[in-house]
Amino acid sequence: MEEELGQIIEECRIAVEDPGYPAIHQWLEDNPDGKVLGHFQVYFPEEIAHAAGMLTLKMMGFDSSVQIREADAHIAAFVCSILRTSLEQGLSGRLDFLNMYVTTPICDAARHISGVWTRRFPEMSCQILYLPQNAASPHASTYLVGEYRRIAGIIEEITGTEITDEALRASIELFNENRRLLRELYRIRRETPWLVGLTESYLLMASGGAMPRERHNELLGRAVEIIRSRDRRPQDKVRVVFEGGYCEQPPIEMLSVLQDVAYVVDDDFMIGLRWLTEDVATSGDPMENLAVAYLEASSYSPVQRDPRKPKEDMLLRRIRESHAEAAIVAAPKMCEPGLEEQVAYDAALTEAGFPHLVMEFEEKTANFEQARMEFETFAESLLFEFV
Amino acid sequence: MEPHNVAIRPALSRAGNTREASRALMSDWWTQLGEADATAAPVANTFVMGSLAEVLNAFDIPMMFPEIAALQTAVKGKSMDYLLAAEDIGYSPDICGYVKVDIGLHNTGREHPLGKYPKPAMVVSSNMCNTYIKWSETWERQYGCPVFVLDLPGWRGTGFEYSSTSETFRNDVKYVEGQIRDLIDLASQVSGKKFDIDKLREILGRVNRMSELYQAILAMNKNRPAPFNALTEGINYMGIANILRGQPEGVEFMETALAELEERVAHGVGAVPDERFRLLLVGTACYTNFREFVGMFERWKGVFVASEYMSFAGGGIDRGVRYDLDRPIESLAEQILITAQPSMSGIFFSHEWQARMAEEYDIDGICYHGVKSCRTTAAGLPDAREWLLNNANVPGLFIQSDLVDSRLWAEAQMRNRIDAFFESLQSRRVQAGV
Amino acid sequence: MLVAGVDVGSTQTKAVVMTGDHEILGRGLCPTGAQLAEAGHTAFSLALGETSFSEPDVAFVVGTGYGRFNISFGDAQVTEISCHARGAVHLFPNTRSVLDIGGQDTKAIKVTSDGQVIDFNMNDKCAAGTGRFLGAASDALEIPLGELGPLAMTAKNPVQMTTTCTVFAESEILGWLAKGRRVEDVVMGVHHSIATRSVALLRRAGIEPEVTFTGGVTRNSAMVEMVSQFVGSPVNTNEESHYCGAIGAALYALDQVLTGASAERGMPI
Repeated sequence: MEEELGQIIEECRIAVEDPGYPAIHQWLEDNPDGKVLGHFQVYFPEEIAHAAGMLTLKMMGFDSSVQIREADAHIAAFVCSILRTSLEQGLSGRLDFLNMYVTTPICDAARHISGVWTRRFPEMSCQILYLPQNAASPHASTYLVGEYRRIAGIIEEITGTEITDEALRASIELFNENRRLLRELYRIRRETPWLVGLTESYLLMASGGAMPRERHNELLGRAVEIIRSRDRRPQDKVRVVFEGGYCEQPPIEMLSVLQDVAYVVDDDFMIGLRWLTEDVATSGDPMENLAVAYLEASSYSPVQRDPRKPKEDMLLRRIRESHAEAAIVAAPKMCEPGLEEQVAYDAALTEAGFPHLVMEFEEKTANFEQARMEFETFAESLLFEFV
Repeated sequence: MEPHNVAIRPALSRAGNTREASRALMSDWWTQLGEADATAAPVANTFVMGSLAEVLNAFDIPMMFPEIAALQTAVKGKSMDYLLAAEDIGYSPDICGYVKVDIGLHNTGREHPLGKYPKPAMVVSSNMCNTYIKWSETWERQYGCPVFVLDLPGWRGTGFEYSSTSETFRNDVKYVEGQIRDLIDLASQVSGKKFDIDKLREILGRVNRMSELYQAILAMNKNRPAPFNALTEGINYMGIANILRGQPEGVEFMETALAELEERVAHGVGAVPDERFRLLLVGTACYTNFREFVGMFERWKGVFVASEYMSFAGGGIDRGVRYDLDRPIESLAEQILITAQPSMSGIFFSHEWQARMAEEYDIDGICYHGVKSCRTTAAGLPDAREWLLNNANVPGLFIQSDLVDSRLWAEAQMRNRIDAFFESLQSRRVQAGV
Repeated sequence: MLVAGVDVGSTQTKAVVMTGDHEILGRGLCPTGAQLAEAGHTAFSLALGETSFSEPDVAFVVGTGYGRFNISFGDAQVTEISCHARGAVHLFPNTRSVLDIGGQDTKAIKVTSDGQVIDFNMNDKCAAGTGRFLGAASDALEIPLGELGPLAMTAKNPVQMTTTCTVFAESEILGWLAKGRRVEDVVMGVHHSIATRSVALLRRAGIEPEVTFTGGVTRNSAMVEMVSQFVGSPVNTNEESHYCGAIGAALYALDQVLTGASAERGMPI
């Protein structure tokens, strides 16, 4: 069983780490006329594209396996790594298979992606999806449904496939299953964190953005089953929440360093894949259901404004619900919203008297000694405190 | 006439030219804000892009523009004091300097070099800049004031155009109009005043007029020599357009400014003596070393005849605001989407605009000034520069510094790049046989 | 008739004395140090010393480089961007792209056939991708600058530097050594990193052959090799490349003397 799990995780690792996107190319081989939609962080309603038979690729950055050669010539020096890496992937031709690229204006730097891509790839349909930033407004859902229909119209044009309600409902069901499995995986992390490593869990989760969801459901379903049946004993490790991975991701090796010293019982890595926190209804108008779910049954991040979800309250809730003893409040280097939110998180956690570590990371880091030292010192200080 | 308007009015008559007038009006603005603070009258914090001054003015709620206040600290050589105070409490060196100056001010007794820096009673924010939202949340946390975020769907891609009948436009207008109505309720609550639609109508009428005048002012620089420098006087025009949007003094100021420019044109007076190079500024100014920065261009007799800054930071006033006074609220929603919103979205797709400006204003080169503080205006500049050079044969200079963070100013490097750029413009001219 | 060009760079000052027939009669080189004016004069005197002439024989001196405004005996100043462009085309007439990796600035220049600048790109304020990055490596490893190139050439498995910050370069270098990587592999990694960023600057305006590599770093064989590799074809260098900026300055001085055209050539006199 462990061997089978090892194979599953290896498949996930390749999907996440290989800058050549093997899982996408495999799908294109199997579907020679298939179309691919790329979307930048954080959230995109992939169901809409899926309903038209399109494959979606959630844009991730890469560690030092992708070297920046071209991208720096197109973007100012003071932007985060994921923006440069994803642009590098485009400029180096590795994303030539994309038929459509959708970005959402998550931050001031990311708002430039569409312009740069349009100038570099005039043939590609680069669309900006304006997700509501006044999410609590009573007018937001009507607006969002209209916006989803607009995007759906473009997808229909590109694929030549009409997005019927039935097809959309079926896609929602598939993604509901995916979300259910991810919730399961995270429940294991919260309840019995010794059963699954952070890097295993991360790869299992994040790979959903870079392979067909049908395949991901198979892998994830089987993996959750095997993990649950593992016979492992808890170790004396502190339980922490990791916050700050909503867009750019830390390098896997850093997560590996972290799991050596702590149980990470919850996190916001690739939160867009888990943005909708409940099953999306399939009865009624499915497009409306998707829009309402985005606004009403969703997670949080520094780049969505919703006064009903003050971020520090949400973080404290995440901590409480996972019974964490401490939090790591990280932000990617040069990530303005992340760095801004970090100050608020720091203040709220300090006020609540909750131990936490504030740090920066970058996907391209190759030297983890400093991170190891920080994590170890932090964990030791906690263990010492609780003796 | 409302009392604060009376207070501002004498400024125009005592000023001999628009430069002094703008200084006097700015000073009156600070006086007004100081008085509001002293009497605990509600002040709204708002931003230059999407200020919704129309609505706030309809309730006589004085507006603080923290962006303007922040740049003023830099001009006064004080920005680092506040900025470092914010870094002391955990704000990263990589965060927008405007935000940090403001946070520093709020955490060190609210003493601005030009007057008392008031506490906000409410905030009108928008997605025009994502940092606006994060910034507003700091006041929400500190003062518990209501934060209204005007959400404006922008261009959905390059070449995006609204047609008044398109489904997207109708969908967006409905959303924005709903939000404006929510803001009217909020402003009424905060000010304790009833909404007066006729008053709004008057204000909208004056914005129409100001916009017309502002457009005429911009067009004056199609003349050779250009009568004003978009980097210096242009910023004054823009500042007044923001703080007095829809006010009688705003209209009057624009009229005076236009008349002054017409006179300069009639007499062939240029902003820079013996104008030799006509430039377009893309990006923002550098306020920590403003005079040196301007001087590096003027030394070469280069004049900024136009700037993208005067567009996006003017809240769309350059795009011809034409409110329909018969249906004020609906029209406000529509015009924001047609004028203010594209002035922001346009930043990301501004290569075509730049090419057009280069033609219309007979521009020799474009100066792309990226400031670390503002990813909104700066992140994509290198790409746009390359596009213009290769697709429109307009040479561009890419330089970087900051709005208010003097640590990012490197004089020797700046001067070197600027000198080299002018040298290359000169060679181009020699080769073209001009 | 003689002219001179003096290039006061951030680390070294170079001077050449040139005849009206473009013949270089003398060269001078000295460290810049803190006294910019003095360095300019020293280099100029050294160059003159190689000739049988003295200062009054030199009709026109153009200063360039960071310290160009400190050259009190100079008659005009031109930026090193224009001078490197001019010098490169003079040394290699088919030059269309010029790369100069300087002490605190790296310049990528696109030029016309007569050495005029069409476009140029430089590093941002931070010194990533400049010669200073090599200096940081030299300090961290306690290996003289001049030995870094030959050492790098022996690398078999270069590391990939991830930091672009000169300040952090030192700690990353030490980090790689702590991981057990060989010194030459780390040094080659540093070269690789600088070359990558420098060639990225060239790409901003599009790399048009031939590419001429100028400045002091051209004496570093590993860097020439790396730059050629990333450019995709061999880049021009020769023993005069080091003096390219000063040569360009002298050519501008000559223009002035011959045609009085300096103002038209780009000198704000």
